[in-house]
Amino acid sequence: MALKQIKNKIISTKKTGKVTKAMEAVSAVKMRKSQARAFDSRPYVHAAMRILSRLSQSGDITTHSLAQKRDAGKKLVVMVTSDKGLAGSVNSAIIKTVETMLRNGEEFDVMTIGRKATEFAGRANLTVLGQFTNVSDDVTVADVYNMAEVVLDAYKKAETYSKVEVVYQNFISTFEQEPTKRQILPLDPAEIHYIMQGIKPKVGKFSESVVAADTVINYEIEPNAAAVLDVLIPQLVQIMLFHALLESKASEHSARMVAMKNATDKSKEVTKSLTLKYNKARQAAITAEVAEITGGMEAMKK
Amino acid sequence: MKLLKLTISKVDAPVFDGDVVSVTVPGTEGEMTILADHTALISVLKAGVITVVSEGGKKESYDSVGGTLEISNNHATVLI
Repeated sequence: MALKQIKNKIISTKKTGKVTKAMEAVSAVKMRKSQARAFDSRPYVHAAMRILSRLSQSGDITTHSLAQKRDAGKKLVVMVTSDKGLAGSVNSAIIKTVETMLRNGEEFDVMTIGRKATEFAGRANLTVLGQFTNVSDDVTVADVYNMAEVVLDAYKKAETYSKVEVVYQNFISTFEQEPTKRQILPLDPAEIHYIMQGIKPKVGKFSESVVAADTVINYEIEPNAAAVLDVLIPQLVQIMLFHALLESKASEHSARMVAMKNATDKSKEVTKSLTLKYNKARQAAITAEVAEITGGMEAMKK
Repeated sequence: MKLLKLTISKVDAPVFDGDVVSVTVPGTEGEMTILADHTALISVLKAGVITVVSEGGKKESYDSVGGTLEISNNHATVLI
């Protein structure tokens, strides 16, 4: 390779390294933000759980239409992915999970959150009930509200769906994410408990869990348990979707951070080996020149 | 005067957390004002304005589109 070409390649590799380094830094900040937001929503989830556990003691919960098990019907799967790529295997793992379900012959329709999921649903010819893209990193209630509406409408309207499940990337730690499938409807208190414990890294700033005091108090319920459940269950659906979104955001950013770190390291490595090559080529050129000159001098002496 | 602990939370963020004199919420059966040492209660809220009166008479209002209310041990939790 000519000297000039190697030099250009070194320059472009260094530039790529700078870009990936910047992306790494940005992802690191975004990841911490996502974790902090998940932490912010804890009081809400704890209070909702408290109300639910109190109501479930009375037995009313199992008779509510949104908590009753349905035997027949297909599933509604909510797929949560990111909009953008360059994030390692976060999205492909979700898609693989859904593909496995397809291969196993499960019948289901989908609701997609994130562009990667929407694209996959198009490729796989799945019935899409709703699609949401461009969900900002600061997930708001308004975003979740619309999603929960689609889910609840579909579930309430007809008995075509036996179950609503959400598939998302569970955030375990910065280096570890896991595609997870959770049931949203019919409502199962155990599932909520799991989700509440959700976005909690094994170690670090947000790892300590907050345990709600388990007290038995005789509540007055106004106007009645069914009316409270009518309001509370949709709220819980929102919470579960919200947490799935947060988890997948945190997973996306941390996976991207790791992927970008690897890319930065690799670009440094490549720059190093290219520089070596460049110096070798330069030295070879100089040696050739010197040889030519001395050769010429020898020829003139004669 | 005994104060009531109040937590107002939205799905995505806490809205209010602190000690208050009273809180007025739009219940489905009509508006109600909750003072300290209220009996344990679970109730449904409709759309309206939640008014919080802090010590010293300072009033703060929050809009809500409905939610649930839980009171136990002199601690009121409003989920909107």
